[in-house]
Amino acid sequence: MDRISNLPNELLVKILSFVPTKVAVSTSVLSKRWERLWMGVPKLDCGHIDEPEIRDFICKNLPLRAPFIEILCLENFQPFQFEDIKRWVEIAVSHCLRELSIYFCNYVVPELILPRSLYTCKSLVILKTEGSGILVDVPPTACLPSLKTLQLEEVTYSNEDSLRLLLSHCPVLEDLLIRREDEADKAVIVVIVPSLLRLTLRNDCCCGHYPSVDGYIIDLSVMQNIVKLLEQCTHVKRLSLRELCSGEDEHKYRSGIVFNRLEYLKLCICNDNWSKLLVWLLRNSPKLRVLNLYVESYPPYEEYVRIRWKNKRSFVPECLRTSLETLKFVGYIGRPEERDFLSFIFKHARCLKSISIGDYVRR
Amino acid sequence: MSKKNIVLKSSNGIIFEVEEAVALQSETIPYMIEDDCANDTIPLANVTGDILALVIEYCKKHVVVADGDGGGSSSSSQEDLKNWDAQFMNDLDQSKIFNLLLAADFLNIKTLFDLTCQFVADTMIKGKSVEEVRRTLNIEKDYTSEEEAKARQENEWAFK
Repeated sequence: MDRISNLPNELLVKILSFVPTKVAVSTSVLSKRWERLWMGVPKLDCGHIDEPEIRDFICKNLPLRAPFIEILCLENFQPFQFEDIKRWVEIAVSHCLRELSIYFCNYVVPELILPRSLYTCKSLVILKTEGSGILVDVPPTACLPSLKTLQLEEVTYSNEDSLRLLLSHCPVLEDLLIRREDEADKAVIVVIVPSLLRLTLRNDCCCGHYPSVDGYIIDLSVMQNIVKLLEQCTHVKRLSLRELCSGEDEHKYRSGIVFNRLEYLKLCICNDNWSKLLVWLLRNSPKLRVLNLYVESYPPYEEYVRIRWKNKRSFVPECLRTSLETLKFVGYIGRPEERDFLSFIFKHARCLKSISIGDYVRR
Repeated sequence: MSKKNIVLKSSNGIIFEVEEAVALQSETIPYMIEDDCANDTIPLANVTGDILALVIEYCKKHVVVADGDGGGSSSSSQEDLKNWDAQFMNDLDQSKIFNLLLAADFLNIKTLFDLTCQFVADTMIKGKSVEEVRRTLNIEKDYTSEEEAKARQENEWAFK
């Protein structure tokens, strides 16, 4: 085995899947054996598809890629090609599409509406969209059972609920990137995705060098290690957290993640380790003004392991000494950890102006 | 707890003993262990010793070690690994690269397979003229000039 010619066709096709479609097609003139190899590559990534020859090429070749079109990448197209794009996406969806990238950065009206079949594509694992010309209009029947990676960069949403709706139909989503350019102060990003492992929020505002995601309320409800998810969201002003399940891993509460701008924190108490997470959040949120705790439900009572709220002055979180003004605790039932937490707060919070502690409210 | 070792035997009879975690980056080896649990040595009839040594070198570098604190982490940073991968591939001649590709395919080590494919694509195909690719890959031109012109014409845009 000293020559590429000794490799079986399937491996040559694999190699060709690592080059852009244009390069793969150009290998057709290498030798007779290579003439049709590129056709086996289940990927179309053509670069500038607004050129007529390339459009013709896709029109001719896309339907022939049986049975699979694993990867389809569409970029650099023009509004007059919307019908093409929709048709190609539909064809690809019917060919077990695994990965779709659409980049369309023109501002145009009307926007490109992706075909409904995309939102029910069972095989789709990766979906990357970028550009305000793309309208995310999620049909009620949406279901993306395999989708693991979702990138929504500066897309337009048909309404405020579209993002939440889309996410609610992604049961195995692990990687989520959201970049928005709209009025951050009004937007609420609701991320209720139990399977989520990585979250990246970006807001590329032209004014100022800090991303202005701070205006967003990041509403996170996840099954995984919430601390890891928050690493990418340290610039937020408002956070609402619900950690559905907390591991026993002590090391997850690591130092070095500081929420320098966080002013409002709402934490849902729904597992036994809530106080550990809360200690960590308080320590790392030096500007926190409002803390809102609510008990959703306690799991079956397990033995309470007393948490050290560290009474030494040096360990009192800065926000307690300098900024925390409002505390609301809904659902207080007087469990030991609740009492420990409150006595710590009463002892050390210097700026509290409003405290409200209520009974368990059946939600 | 002592670490379990796995013994691999190349097609030319060379024995390699590696930690289980290293060997299990191959998705093929677990099946071989199951199928052949009575015998401690796993024979790899398709992989020669020099190539198997390379595969093991790669797997040792990429093994994810449990750090004892519950979580797992790779022994090197992502950046280090990338540089290491680039150097690893650069040091190989074409024959080794193609044999490594076959071995990674047979042993089903996805990251090594992708790394090798990517390397071949980037260094031997991309950014080269048809003539250069033929020369680099030692591909014999069996087209007549007319046939080649016709093939070229079919997808002219790809040659612009």
